[in-house]
Parts: sequence; C-alpha cells; structure tokens
Amino acid sequence: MRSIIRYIDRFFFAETNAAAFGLMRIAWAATVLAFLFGSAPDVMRYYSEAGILPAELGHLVFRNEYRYSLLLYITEPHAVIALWSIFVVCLICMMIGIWPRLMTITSVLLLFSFHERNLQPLGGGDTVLRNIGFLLMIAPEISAFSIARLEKQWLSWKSTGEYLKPLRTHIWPYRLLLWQVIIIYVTSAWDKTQGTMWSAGTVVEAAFHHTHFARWSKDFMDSVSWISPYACFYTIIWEFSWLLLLVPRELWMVRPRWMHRFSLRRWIILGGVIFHWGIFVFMDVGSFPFAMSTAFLGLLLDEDFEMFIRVLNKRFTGKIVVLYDGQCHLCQRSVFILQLLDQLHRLEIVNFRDPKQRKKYAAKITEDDLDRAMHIKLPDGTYYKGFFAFRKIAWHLPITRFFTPLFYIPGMPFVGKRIYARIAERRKKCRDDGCVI
Amino acid sequence: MLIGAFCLWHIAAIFSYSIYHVEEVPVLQWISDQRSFFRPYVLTTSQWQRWNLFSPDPLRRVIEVDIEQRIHGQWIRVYTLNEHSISWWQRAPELKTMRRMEDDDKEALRERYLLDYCRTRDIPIGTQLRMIKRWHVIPKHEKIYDTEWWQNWQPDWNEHIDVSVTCTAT
Repeated sequence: MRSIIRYIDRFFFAETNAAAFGLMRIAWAATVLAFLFGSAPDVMRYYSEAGILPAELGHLVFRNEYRYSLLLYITEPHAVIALWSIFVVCLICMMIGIWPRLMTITSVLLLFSFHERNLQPLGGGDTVLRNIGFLLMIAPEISAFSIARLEKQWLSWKSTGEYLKPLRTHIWPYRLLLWQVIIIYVTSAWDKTQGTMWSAGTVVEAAFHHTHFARWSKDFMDSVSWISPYACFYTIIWEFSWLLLLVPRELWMVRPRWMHRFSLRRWIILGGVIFHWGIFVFMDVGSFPFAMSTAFLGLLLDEDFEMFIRVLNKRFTGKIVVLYDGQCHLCQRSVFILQLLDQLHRLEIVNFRDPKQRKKYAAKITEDDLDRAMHIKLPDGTYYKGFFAFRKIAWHLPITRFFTPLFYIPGMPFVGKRIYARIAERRKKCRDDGCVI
Repeated sequence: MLIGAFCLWHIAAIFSYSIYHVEEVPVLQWISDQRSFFRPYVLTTSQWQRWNLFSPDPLRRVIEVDIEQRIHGQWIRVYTLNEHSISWWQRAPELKTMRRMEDDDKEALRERYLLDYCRTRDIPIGTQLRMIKRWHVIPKHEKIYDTEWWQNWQPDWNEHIDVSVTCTAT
C-alpha cells in the first residue's frame, strides 16, 4: 500500500523544469494576441449587443446553464471595445511576464468571457487555447522567462553575485496537459474511424477542394491531391500513437536496448509538428496549428532541454572568453544579461581588472586596449573586439541568433561601430539606476 | 492529497465529456453516461470540447452567400460572402460564422446578419436587403481519383433565395 502511495506521489509531485510552462505562457499569450488583433475589426459585430448576436437570439447559439461571461453584463459597443483593449494589455503583460500569475488568470478568464459570449466564430484552435489556458491558470509555476523573474535574478546577482537556481515545479500540470493532448488526438482518431472516407484515404483530396480551407488555387490543390491516402494513413496512425504515452515508462524497458536512446514522446511530438505545419502549408484552419504547437511546448521535460543543448553544441567545443570591465556598472549589467541569455553555456565571463585573469586570458593585450572596448577570445585563439565581438557573441545566444545576419548587412558594421564607440565612451557615467548615454 | 484528487477529477471529467460514438464499447459508454455528473464543472470552467476534426467524414458542403439590395425595383448583388471577400486574418471566424448560421432553425441569425450589414455599411433605413444562399457539395469518393479527374471536376452550384429584411435603426 505504501509503495502505491509513493508511486502516486511520484506520479503527480515529482519535480520537473518550470521552463516548459514558462515557454507555453509566452506562446499562449502571443497566439491569443495575434488572433485577437485579427478579430479587431469585428469586435463590435461579434461581441456587442449591436452586433450579429444580440442576447435575444442567444438561445439559438449557446447553452443557458453554467455559462459565465463578463460580456453578459458589458454589452454596449464602446464598453466591449474597452474590455477588448484591457484584454490586449493583459496579454502583453502575460507574454513578457509582468505580474505573470495575475495577468495569466485575468487573460484566461477574459478569453473564457469572449468565447462564451459568442460561440459562432470559434474553431478547434480556440478550444485548445481555452483548455491549455485553464492549465496555465492553475499551474503552480509559470514565471520562467518573465520580467518578474528577471528582476529577482538581478537582485540576487547584485547582492550575491550568483544567479537563482533554475525554477522547478511539480509535474502534475504536465500530466494534465499530456492527458488533454491525448484526449484531443485519440478521440479525434476514434471519430475518424466512424466514417468511411478516412479508411478510403479520400479525406484530404476532398478537404483540399473545400474553398473555405484550401490555401492555394484549385490547379495547385488538384496537383497535390495524390498525397491524400498517405496523409490519411499518417493522420490516423499518428493520432492513435498518442495512446502509447499511457504505457508506463517501466514497461518500455522491454524494448530492445538500441531503442532505449529514442524518446517515443519526442518522436510523437515531432510527428505533431510535421502534421500541423504540413496542414498549415496547404490549408487555412485558423489558430489550430499555433494552439497545438503551444501545447507541445508545455510537454517538454528536462531531458528535452538537455537534448537541445547537446544537439546545438555538437559542433562546438571550448568556451568563448568574454573580457569585461568589472569596475563599470553598464558592463556588469551587460554581462548579467549575457549570462542569462547564454542557454548553451558557451561563454566564460572574465573580469580583466583582475590581473591574474588578464594574464591568463589576454596576456598580449594591454589594460588600456581592454578598457576601450569589450574583447572576446574564441576557442581557436582568435580575438574580436567592440561591435565585432558583440556580433560574434550574438551567433552563440539562441535568442539573438535569428537576427544576427542583420548585423552583416552592408553599412551595419559602420553604424554598429559608431553606436558601440559612443556607448563605450560614456559607459563609466552609468550607475545601477541608469546611464547617460 | 487534494491536488492529486483534483487531477484525477479533471482527468475523468474531460475524458467523459469528449468521447462520442461509444455505443459498442460498454465501459466507454458507461463513462460517457456519467457526463451529467461532470457537467457543472466542465461547463463552468469552459473546458467543454469535442474533437470531430474533419470527421467522421470531412465537411464537403461549400457555401457562400450573396447579399442583394433592392434598388429602383430591382435586386442588385452588392456583396458576396466567401473566402475571396474576407481578409485572410478574418477568414476562419467569419466563414465559420456563415456555416453555423446556415441551419434551418437559424433564420433569425441570418436576418440579424443582414441587419448588421445595414448598420456597418450605413445603408439607409427602409432599404430592402435579401440573402441568396449558394452551395455545392464536393463528391464523396470511396476510392482515390487521379489528378486529371480533379482537373476536370467543376462544382455544381445550387442557389436558394433566403431571408430578406428592411434596414432599421438598430
């Protein structure tokens, strides 16, 4: 009995990384925000008493019990627009992480309010957003990658020189999310087996010719209809494959040893990414691919983050030494940010004011030269300084990697060098509360 | 303990509320029958869901709507609601709205849609508008047809004069 209780305790309360739900919070807010902006021209039409669904016709569309919406009381068009604007502000705060808990609860409840006011424009993606929004609302830790967390990190770093430990949380929100995703796919697959077209492999060719969904011209959709049987087969198999995730991990040990290094969950999620974005290329199904991808982010575990870092670092060995001025407040803050963004652990931060360190990493560079600009030393021994050092580092930080090519546009080095020089020149005027640049 | 119990409750509630077509599986049928027990929780928390995505068979009925205005005693088409007349970011919700108000018992919604058209386009009070519903059905195939067949296929459109309204001050 005790071992059963221990198993249940471990099943719901084992610790896991809180980064996944932090990422899901950001993606959820971004997705809702994007589609909320899309509906901006129709806010009055969809949600106010003056629009297409006044309260007197409500009985034709929605249920009359256990239904709660602020918009049952806020009906005047301008008041509805005001509420919509508050929703937008809450979502922005939720996305960047200002009061993440409060903003998440408010945003999710407002989403419920808008959805419950008018069901007519809602699709599957909206339902997914409601389902995972509820889990975000009740999850114990969602503040990873937030401004609130950044403030705490800064205070810790400033007072102790140490970063806070990575956020951990109980695993039960992950379990509920996984169950929700399993429900979505397996009940959907079950429903598909009740018809005749999925087994005949003709669903996709019919859907490709439904002009409400087809993204491209009829000629193009004609020419790709041949994928129909393969896509139908893939869909059914992949949707049912989520059932395999109900098999306890211990039982999977019966697999051949060479298969142990493959994570079934990861392959199924990867299959989902291919599935949803494959549909997105050919068909317009609203927010569904975005909502499901958001849910997939919440399904990432410690081992997945470790795997990402391992894969991205596969061709990189050694460390990039960043030589910074330990007496300059702006430099200290920059280093604080750099280390936070260094998710791949490629940087080694060195204070060049420390003679021992300077001798070890930059013996041939004078302190005056180091004082003029930030220097970095690559694992192969090459040095870069100033703007070019900054540009080199940007390649190695996941968050800045995507826009680093912009720094190579002709003219950018010229502008970048000047901006860098101006900041470097005035950096000593900075204090902890700000700079005069 | 409480959190564990809540998780089990939530798992059971959304499972019971999302299974359909389970008449031949007694256990699933029993779980589905417990739906009324979970109903207050699922509806209050907006967790209702049904995942009949393109299933059991996909939607094959394609509809579009013309709005005609009575001008000098003649009906003139002034707007067509279809995938071409809506911006890409409004397409999914607006077309969904059109499909959902198509049923026979939703006539009042279609009339309201026309009145809303009067309001948003500033059409003078007293102007008559009517809705023309046009539709075709994509063929249901039990076997794969080749590209050439689809290239030769053309939709067989039907047309029906639907509701009409006189613009009022709404």
